[in-house]
Amino acid sequence: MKVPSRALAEWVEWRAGRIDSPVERLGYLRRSAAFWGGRPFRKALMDARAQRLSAFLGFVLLLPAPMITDGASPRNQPVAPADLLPRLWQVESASDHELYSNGLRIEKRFTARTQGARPFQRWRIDTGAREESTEPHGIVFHMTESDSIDYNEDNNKQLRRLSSGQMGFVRGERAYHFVIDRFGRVFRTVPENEPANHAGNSVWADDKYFYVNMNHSFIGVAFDGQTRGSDGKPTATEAQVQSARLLTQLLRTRYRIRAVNCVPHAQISVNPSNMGVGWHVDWASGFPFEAVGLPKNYLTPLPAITLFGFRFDDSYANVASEELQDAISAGETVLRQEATSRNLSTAAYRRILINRYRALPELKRQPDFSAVSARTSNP
Amino acid sequence: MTFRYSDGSTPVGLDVGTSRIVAAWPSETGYIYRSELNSFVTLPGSKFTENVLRKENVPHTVRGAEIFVQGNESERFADLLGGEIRRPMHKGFLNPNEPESHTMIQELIANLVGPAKHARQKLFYSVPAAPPGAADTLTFHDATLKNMLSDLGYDARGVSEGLAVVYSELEGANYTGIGVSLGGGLCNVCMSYLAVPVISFSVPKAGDYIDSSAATVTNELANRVRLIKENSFEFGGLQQEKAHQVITVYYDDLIATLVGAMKDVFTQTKSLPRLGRPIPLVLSGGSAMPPGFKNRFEEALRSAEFPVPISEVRLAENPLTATAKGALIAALSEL
Repeated sequence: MKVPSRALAEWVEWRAGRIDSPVERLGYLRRSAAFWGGRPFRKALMDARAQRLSAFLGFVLLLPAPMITDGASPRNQPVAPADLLPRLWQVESASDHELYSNGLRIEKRFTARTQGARPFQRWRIDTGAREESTEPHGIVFHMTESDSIDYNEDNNKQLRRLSSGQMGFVRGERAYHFVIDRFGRVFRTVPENEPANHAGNSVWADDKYFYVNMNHSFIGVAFDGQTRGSDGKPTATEAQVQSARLLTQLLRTRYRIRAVNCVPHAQISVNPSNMGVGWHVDWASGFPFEAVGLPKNYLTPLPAITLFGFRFDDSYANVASEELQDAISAGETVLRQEATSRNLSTAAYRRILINRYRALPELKRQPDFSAVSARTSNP
Repeated sequence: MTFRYSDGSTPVGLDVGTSRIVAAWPSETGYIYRSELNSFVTLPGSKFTENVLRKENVPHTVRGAEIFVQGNESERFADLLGGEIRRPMHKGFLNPNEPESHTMIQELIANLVGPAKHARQKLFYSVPAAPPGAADTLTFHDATLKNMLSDLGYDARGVSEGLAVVYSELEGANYTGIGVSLGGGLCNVCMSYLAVPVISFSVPKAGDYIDSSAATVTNELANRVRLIKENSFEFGGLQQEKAHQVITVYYDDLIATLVGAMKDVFTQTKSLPRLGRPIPLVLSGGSAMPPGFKNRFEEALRSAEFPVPISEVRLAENPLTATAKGALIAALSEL
């Protein structure tokens, strides 16, 4: 396990100093150590310099999601269980549903009328070249943030009625590809080979490609519910989480989607008008990565910050999970380090990144769907 | 933050040392410890002896024509019988020359911590660091302990002994500093930076070395020397008793070896983090307990011109339980 760089260490130490309990502080430091030490961070940056690549490559080598390891006795990191996917096949296809070998049942009665297949797109980090393919590259998890009622037996009728209304609205808006209602039923609302208006202004990246305005790149899967329920926690039910796991298995197997490209909306959403991250904050905390069979992608430094110089403000930091806050700060640290390595001030380097973002042809081509999630709050 | 599982059980910290095994559990007010000497003696088997031991609640095992008395009572019986205690471990690792090594240590641990309450119950146990240039020596020892503890049902993981000392004592420095554990068989050293072990190594010279060397010179049993060392020895002043004089000589030799090894390893390490400020060093383990030891060690460190700036040298709050407490804190931090 490697120690973090001086700049990162200062930040980690500052955060640790705010934790009163020695045990919790140790837990935080060990998780941080596993995160920074588990990734070839320094090597990545050095390689990037050696190859005279831009900050893109230096950053994206970080992207494979970190695994929390036993800091006590460092060992080689195990293969992420999330990357071991079962073989899946379709068992049954009827007019109103599909059944898969992992038990997943997809309801088809709210599927929007087809508008014709469209290619999925992505951009190479090293050359900036745009590529098209017939398969989606990732999954964005959403919350519909719709008004809801208590999930209990007494409210069965109302819950079902709300669910139907919600599906009808989502279908009309072509808002997501899939919606999982509170009973765990999975509805296909838009065919997977067509774009849905789910991601809006957004940025993500893996180790080779970056994705911008991702309606045409990623599949949208929404949980019906709220990120912050009456108790401040996500309202997702156990049935929804189980269904999300099965659906994620299916989509990842069918389209060979990498675990690092399965992310909550809050991690990718940006606001180009003020260059801020976190325009939408659904699943800014509490996304059940492990239960859905994914590594904790909250820990990934935000590509919007490191690639294009987006900023964050307190309102976003306040709703973000602790891990996501770490990822935001880590993104800022990476940006500062890259600026230093280029003998630039952070502000100057950020301006270069922002100009790079604004020059992307994609921004001139695709309409802005950023308000979809907000609109769904009152179907 | 609660330190209990839903069934009321807790994680466990275990220091498996050459001379003692110490277990730690969290309590409402702090920590609870239990310890046993990591030793045993064999007595000739007889119904009479067996009955006496049972009546006196002395932990023992009858096997064939022999009775094995384990743990704390072994010392008393060895003294009574004028014999030496036998050790399941030697110089920090399982004793390759002791045929009963596995069986005895298994029984000692089982008596101390009992079986796990459930499969998720975490138990972090201390493992020594390998001596410089001998990394392979650790593998068998670690795997054997892990198997023993897994057999008891625990989710068991090893934690470097020096690192456990850091976890126990250096929370005020955000777990940055040097932990030195001076035990019976080894001195373990670990430099930690924000809870990350940066350097870990051991020196195969510790309390047992002092006991056996002094015993040879004084013609005493090593066990007797140990009792003198632990009960009445202290540094400084004019030593009246010959045993004390001899113990001082070998203690100085131990300190010189340890400080020399620390200086060499730290000087040769190329990837030391840039610390920005001096770091604390904490001493723990039974061999660090004699009054005056800390000053002696500090003097040696200063005159050796140790390459890392040290803000303070101090003794662990409780040198005998620091490793177990650190292992427990590591386990708790994963709850």
